[in-house]
Amino acid sequence: MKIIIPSSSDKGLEAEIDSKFGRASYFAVIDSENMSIEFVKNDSASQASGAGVGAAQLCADKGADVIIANDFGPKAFYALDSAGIEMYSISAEDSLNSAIKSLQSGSLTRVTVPTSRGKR
Amino acid sequence: MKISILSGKGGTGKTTLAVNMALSLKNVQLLDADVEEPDDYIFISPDIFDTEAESVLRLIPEVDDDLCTACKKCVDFCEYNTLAMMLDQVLVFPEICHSCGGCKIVCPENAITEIERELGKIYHAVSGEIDFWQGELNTGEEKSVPVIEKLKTKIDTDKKVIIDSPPGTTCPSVEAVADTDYSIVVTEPTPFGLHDMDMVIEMLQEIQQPFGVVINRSDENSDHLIENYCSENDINILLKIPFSREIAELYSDGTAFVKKMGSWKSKFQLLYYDIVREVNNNEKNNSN
Repeated sequence: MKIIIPSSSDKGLEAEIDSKFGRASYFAVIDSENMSIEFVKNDSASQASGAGVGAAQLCADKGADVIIANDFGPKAFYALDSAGIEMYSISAEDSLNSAIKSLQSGSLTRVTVPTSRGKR
Repeated sequence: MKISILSGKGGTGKTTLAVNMALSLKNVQLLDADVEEPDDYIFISPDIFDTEAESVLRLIPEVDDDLCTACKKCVDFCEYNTLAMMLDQVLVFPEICHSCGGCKIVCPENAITEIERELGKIYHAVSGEIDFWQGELNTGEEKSVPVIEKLKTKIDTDKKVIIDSPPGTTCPSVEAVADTDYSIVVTEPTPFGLHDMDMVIEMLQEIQQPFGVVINRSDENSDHLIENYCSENDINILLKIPFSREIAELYSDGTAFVKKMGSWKSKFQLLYYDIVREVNNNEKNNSN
């Protein structure tokens, strides 16, 4: 299973979650089978508009099954939901490592509606 | 003569200045281009929503799923992420579309057509000497520039034209100011007012727009904040509107204060003719 988490740096599993989805600095692409991790720079972060959509596209292209993030705006939510990607919410203070542990222990809440009105 | 009124932050007094100036002049046109939150109508024509509105339309892509082969060229082309490809289906996010039509051109299957979408409305009313036009962006839409462009097609250059612009320094404000002869920057004597005025002035200088400053909620103990800045930068302070309970109460009641404080009409007329003189002088100097 491929898990993608917005990350504020590209420094391994101890990196902090980026509180922004669309404008996150990086995305950590984690394969839960072998816990391999790849960091992808988020080019949408600096775009004038539609960062949430661009980030969602990136995650879909990377083959995400699950995304764990602090916040899903309406456009990102609609795009990810259309791709059949499961979304889970988490506090932004967590590290990537603890986010994955929380997901595996079943303590994360599934996101079924956008969690914010979106930002510019 | 076309005068645009703008400010760095909302709530400094653009509406106050625009409506009171318009009500003090004859043969005048007032355009409310603050399309995200137009409120001049409250003071000029409260029944404006009873009139028939003109739609502002723009083109957005529509994808024929039967023709689409999921090649993703349209998604990769769009700079604004208006399109996304999810499970071999193109999603369209119309609010962020800039209506460039590029996706239609790059589609090798001719699967994309452009359809009209209403972005906003233009309202019109005549109230006394004022030919009043209002642009309004529909709720949920993000692109206000096309509404302002359409609103400005209503300009009648035989009249004294006042444009109440959106606050800030971004594209909508620049669009409202474009092609006007002069801009009035409204500010208030607070650190916030000064900071945001500085940003507007930087924008106006960048587009080489002549301008002057009006201080709203003027108070002798704090005006120095604005006055020092203006004298250092050789900027003209055109008028001060005092921090007055009477003006504030009239405003909250939906009454333009010149209607009750008639002596102010001549001040706004003087303001207008001072600007006309300055614009004419500038033109003379430029042609010499």
